[in-house]
Amino acid sequence: MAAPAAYKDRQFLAVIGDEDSVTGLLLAGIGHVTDPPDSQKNFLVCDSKTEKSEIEKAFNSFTKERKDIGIVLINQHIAEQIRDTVDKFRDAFPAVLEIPSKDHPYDPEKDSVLRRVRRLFGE
Amino acid sequence: MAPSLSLPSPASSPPPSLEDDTETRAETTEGDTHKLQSSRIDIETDHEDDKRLSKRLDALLESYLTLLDTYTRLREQLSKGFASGFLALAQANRNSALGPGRRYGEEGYDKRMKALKRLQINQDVGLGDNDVVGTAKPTGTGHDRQDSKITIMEIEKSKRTCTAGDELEETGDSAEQHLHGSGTKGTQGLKVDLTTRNQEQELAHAERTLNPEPTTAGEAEKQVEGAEAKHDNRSQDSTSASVSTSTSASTSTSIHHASHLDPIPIPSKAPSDTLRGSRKSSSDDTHCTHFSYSITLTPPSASDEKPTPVPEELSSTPPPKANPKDPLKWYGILVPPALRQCQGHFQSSVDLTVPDLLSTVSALDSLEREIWQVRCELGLLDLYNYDYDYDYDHLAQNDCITTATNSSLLGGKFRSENDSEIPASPPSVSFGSDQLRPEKYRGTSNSRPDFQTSPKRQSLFSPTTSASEPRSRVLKLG
Repeated sequence: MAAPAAYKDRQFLAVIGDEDSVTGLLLAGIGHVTDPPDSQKNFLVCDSKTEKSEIEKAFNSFTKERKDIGIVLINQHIAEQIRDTVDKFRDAFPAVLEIPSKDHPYDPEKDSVLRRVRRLFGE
Repeated sequence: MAPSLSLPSPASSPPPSLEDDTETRAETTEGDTHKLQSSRIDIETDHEDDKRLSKRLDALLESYLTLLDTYTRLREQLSKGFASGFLALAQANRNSALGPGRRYGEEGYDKRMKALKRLQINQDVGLGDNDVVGTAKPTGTGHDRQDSKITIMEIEKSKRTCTAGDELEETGDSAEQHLHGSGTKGTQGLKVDLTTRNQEQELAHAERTLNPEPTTAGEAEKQVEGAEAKHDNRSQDSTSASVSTSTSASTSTSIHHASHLDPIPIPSKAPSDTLRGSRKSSSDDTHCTHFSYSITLTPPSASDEKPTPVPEELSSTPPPKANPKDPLKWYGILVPPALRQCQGHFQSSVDLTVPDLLSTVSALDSLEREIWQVRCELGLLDLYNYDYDYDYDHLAQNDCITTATNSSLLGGKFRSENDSEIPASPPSVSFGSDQLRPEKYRGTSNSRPDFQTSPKRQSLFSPTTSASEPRSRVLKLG
């Protein structure tokens, strides 16, 4: 597992989601933009026109490049678009949590945790 | 040679060829009478062990299901919280004071926003040096432990290199030889480590099988006491942790574990049983490695680097000092009450539900690892559609693959083929037990099987281990 220092520094949440999800979560106070010169946002607002590659890039940046993010929240329907990338990521940190969005309620069928459960019970 | 035993587990009937294969392999150096003795003892103790393991598996599954229930409930809670938030946001947008066509959304975001919420990740029970020292008693429990922690592996490595002594050279040789096959240099240290560790484990096992008598009842009781004391420590630890982190889910988890596991070490059992019992308690540590998440308010003094645990007030806005940072102010001074409500819903979701959910997931993960490990020890893996590729990470940590190998699920035939073929990983390798290896596993990586092959190689090349370990495991199943 990770050494203590590896997760103690992870103090931010990141979010990839549609506008309403991101707005709500930013209102809750998780939004963070690092100081210039390389201002980095910890959120990505996606709509139907957002390219898959852009989502993937943000996901990889939050999960692999940045070491200050402890939780990545991502709308489940957006995670579906980059399912391979999400499933391939199995590090302990940051934790990836798929959240419901306004138009796409939480679907247990697509929940990776429940998929693991099914595997555990031999289905 | 191998009397048929009625085992509680369904996996009590391995193919007979397996046994023969491993048996011939086992007859290398030591005398036959010697082995007969040790194996007879093993049959009895392993029978007891299996019962014990089955019980333990049941307890683990029960905890797992309880956690799963928690997870489902938290999921519902999260969905509800978000739904309320979205609804409130929609209401705010309908009565928007921003002007026609404008919504509370991305264009209002402050481009220099700073996070008001900070995350704290805590390991639920510290697995530091103390724990290692505490369990690594001279009774041999320390050797037998099946820890999942790399740190512990490294700490114990030094000890091992002392005790393993001569065998280490041989191991190093085989590991290096193996390296030539795979051509990956970076993992050498780890592989050597794994092999020495495996060897040590098997040595300890041999020790246990050869002379279980010398362990007196007094010693056994002491061990049980130690194990129980550890349980107490753990539950204490976790409660103290939860006081500061306010993650109710993880607390209930550890309490569950404690209550389930406490009755398992029974003092009146045979000495070897207590050995196994304490081994179990040491393997308990594996599920202690889950993490609890908590999200706290950033101190208003804007000291970015020092998150302190401030008790969270739920739907209240941040204190006056932090007011300039309040995201509500992005949209002006007068915002619709619905937007405030929206903020409240999302705040409570982020502050409570999300960290609880993730703590639960983490606890589920570690429990899952442990369940697989116990299944490994019981030899049940082939009953499940076991995905080596998927669970590889966990198993590599748990040393469970070693157990799987030794429990003769894979058999001697597989072992030898694996040794010669895997480093090159040609797609046409025919494995001894294909049902355990999904197709994709073979083709995917060169480096992954290294974890498995090194212990196996080692058991091939070292006479001590092949004499004692595989035999006893085979007898257990036969």
